[in-house]
Amino acid sequence: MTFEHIFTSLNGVFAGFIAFYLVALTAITAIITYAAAKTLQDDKKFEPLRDLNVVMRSPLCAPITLIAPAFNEEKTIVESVHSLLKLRYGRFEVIVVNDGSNDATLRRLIEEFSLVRETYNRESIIPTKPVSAVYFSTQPHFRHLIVIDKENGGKADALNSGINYSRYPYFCAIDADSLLESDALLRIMQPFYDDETTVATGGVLRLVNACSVNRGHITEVSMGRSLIVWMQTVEYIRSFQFARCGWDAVKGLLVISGAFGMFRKDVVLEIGGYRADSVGEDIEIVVRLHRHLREIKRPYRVSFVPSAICWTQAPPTVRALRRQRDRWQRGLFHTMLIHHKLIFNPTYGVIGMLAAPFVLFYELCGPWIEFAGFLAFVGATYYGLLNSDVFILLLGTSIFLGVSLTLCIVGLEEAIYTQFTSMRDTLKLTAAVFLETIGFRQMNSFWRGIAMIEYLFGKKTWGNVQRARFKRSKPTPP
Amino acid sequence: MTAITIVFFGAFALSVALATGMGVYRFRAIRHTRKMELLRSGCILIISDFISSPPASIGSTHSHVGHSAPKTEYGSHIVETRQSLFAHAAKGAEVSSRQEIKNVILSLLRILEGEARTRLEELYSACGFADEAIERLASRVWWERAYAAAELGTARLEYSMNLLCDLLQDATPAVSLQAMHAVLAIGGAQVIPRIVHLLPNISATEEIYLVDVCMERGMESSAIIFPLLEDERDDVKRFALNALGAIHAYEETPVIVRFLQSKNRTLVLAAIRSLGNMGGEEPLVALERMCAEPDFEHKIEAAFALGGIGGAKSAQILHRLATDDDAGVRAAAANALAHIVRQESYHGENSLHTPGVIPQG
Repeated sequence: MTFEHIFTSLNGVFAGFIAFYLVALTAITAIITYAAAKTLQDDKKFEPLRDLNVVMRSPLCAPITLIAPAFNEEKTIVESVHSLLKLRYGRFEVIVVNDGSNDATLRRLIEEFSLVRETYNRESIIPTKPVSAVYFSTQPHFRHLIVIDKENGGKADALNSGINYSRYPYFCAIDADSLLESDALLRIMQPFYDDETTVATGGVLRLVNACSVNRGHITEVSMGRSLIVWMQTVEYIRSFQFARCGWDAVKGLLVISGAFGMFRKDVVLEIGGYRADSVGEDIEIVVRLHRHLREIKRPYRVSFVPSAICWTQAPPTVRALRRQRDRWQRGLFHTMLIHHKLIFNPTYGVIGMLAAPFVLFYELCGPWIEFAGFLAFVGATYYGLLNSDVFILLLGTSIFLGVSLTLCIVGLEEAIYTQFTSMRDTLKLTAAVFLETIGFRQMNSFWRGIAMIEYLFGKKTWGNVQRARFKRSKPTPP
Repeated sequence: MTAITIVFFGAFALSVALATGMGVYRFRAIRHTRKMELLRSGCILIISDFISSPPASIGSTHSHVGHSAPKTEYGSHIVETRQSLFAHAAKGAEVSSRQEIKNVILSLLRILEGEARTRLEELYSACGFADEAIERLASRVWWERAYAAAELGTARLEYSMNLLCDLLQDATPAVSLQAMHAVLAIGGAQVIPRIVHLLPNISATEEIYLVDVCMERGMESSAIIFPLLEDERDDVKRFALNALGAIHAYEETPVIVRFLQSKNRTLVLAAIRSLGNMGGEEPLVALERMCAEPDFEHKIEAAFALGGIGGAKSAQILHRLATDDDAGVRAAAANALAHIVRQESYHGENSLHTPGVIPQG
């Protein structure tokens, strides 16, 4: 039996597998998209009926702690903290955790907010790297701000430190460079009021790169000129808005973004806080919550709130994007390795039987399956097995079906939430959906595949994160 | 091969159609928005004129906006005629325009009171919106029922009260919430007992709205809320405890303190929160007793309440609590103490601003 014979046999099997894989992926994505569209439509319908002012002024409005880990954020930290302190919410405190920055992050905070050291030592419930100092502001209008200065231990460790010092029963984990909409906290807390079994909620992320910002508020939303940002915008709409909304609708939400997630503190303390050795701490803690609460058979809910908006910076360069995707994939891989017990385990319901297997086969194995497809293409071409016309037609069909699905998603999102109001931005968004299929997706898959190899060879760090200043809006004339 | 070609071109055509559709949709949306903005501006002008023209008696009068009413005994008749013409035009308008007119009327109803509001309510009914809203209360679509309830609440149509009360038991939480909102808007705090007994279970969201109405009425609502403490339902009692704390009903403190001994954990926590909201000497004494109880959840809640009350007495209690056996209690006490120290520093009091080290457990 020659290698050609072996290849020919395997190629047939592989082709069948790919066909099944694509059909299953398309079917699940379509179902999730339908569920998401229905949820988003319902949410949009209910939106004008909500009276958030009543919630905000109510003494029953649950107080929350915002925890913002910061590492080398000197460019954006002051503006970010100002915007956090101005959020519309009843009672809240902001804890900025300076995680061993080696730039001027802490100094900027001390100067801007007139911080002084607190003299109380406190016991830590969750073990963390040592805290060198805790600061609070001498100015009464910044009374809600606490700054913790600690030894570098990673984002998870910084969050745990913030939890130790938080006073309130709920905490919101955010990125220090994120900008929350003024009513984002009111909205993300809503599921906790509607359903007392809710333990965690996540908000939606949108990209601030090309938007104009004035004193922490988004004044103009734009697609900008960067192709990399265009394509990430499409990705974020597809993944952060629709996919998460859809998974929430089928009660299979496996991840809450680390840039904007609200948690009940007592439940997180029950499971021991964030895992300090994880670079995907956001997905890991939610998966652990699911496991813990299912195992003790306690009713619970993890929700997604599509109207709670957080604006975040997307990596503006290919290199920065690669580092981000590398980190995400390693975090995902690490989490699924730790919690492999979930996969196809009926004890964990939809999480175990649908959500976790989907992540395994499409997020983790996807890059390798695509790579195998590429090898099959090369082999088939070499052995003359490939009918090029059929191949091109099939490839084209697959691409255009994927484009159509993404256009449906993006179109629905624009119809429901209208992120971009100008004709120019709509055209850019449409163009990005097509352009995404030429190189961007392939590049992503390649990086994700490499990331898993790097993880297996011991790479477990965050890497450097590039930050840029917010684009300022033009001052309005008096 | 032919089948594959057809599928390929089908997929290609679909993607092009969707892309074109997005552009067309955006173009039409922009045009529609501009049209509605014009319509809204026109409606506001016309309606403002109606509601600001006083009913004319024989002889001339001047309206608030400087227009003089016609010097004729038929002045009010002319205003009413214009009103009927407007209502007639609104009834015949296309759906989106009609919706916009209704939105303008409802937005004005939310902010106006007195004579102007009465006229607007008449206009709302004359345009047929009231009848439509009542019809939509029976719709199968949840958001139609919810919007109808919200409209009737804004318009405060008293004759719709019973229909709205029926909706309190709607299966969709969003609908029952709007119905509750509407009933409160029409009936005020007096209807709270009726509402809480009709709701199958009072959620936290509903509690927030009910408490808000109590706070608007202040101490007057204490007499309405107090009897609910004796209700057989625990969620009703919980609401009553929260409401009394929110309106600072100090005279009910002894009754609230009794709930600290309840077997129902939710009621105990609600009572602690209520006492924390009220503050004062008697609640402090009760909270101090709670801190001596064995239940760590109660102690954590009490620590939080004491941190909110502040002051030297609270700090003393928290200092003792900071040596508790439970790590969560110690942490809660320490965080509450740190909060008090910070707050005291803003008021310039140094009695607590002494560097201290919480003993490690």
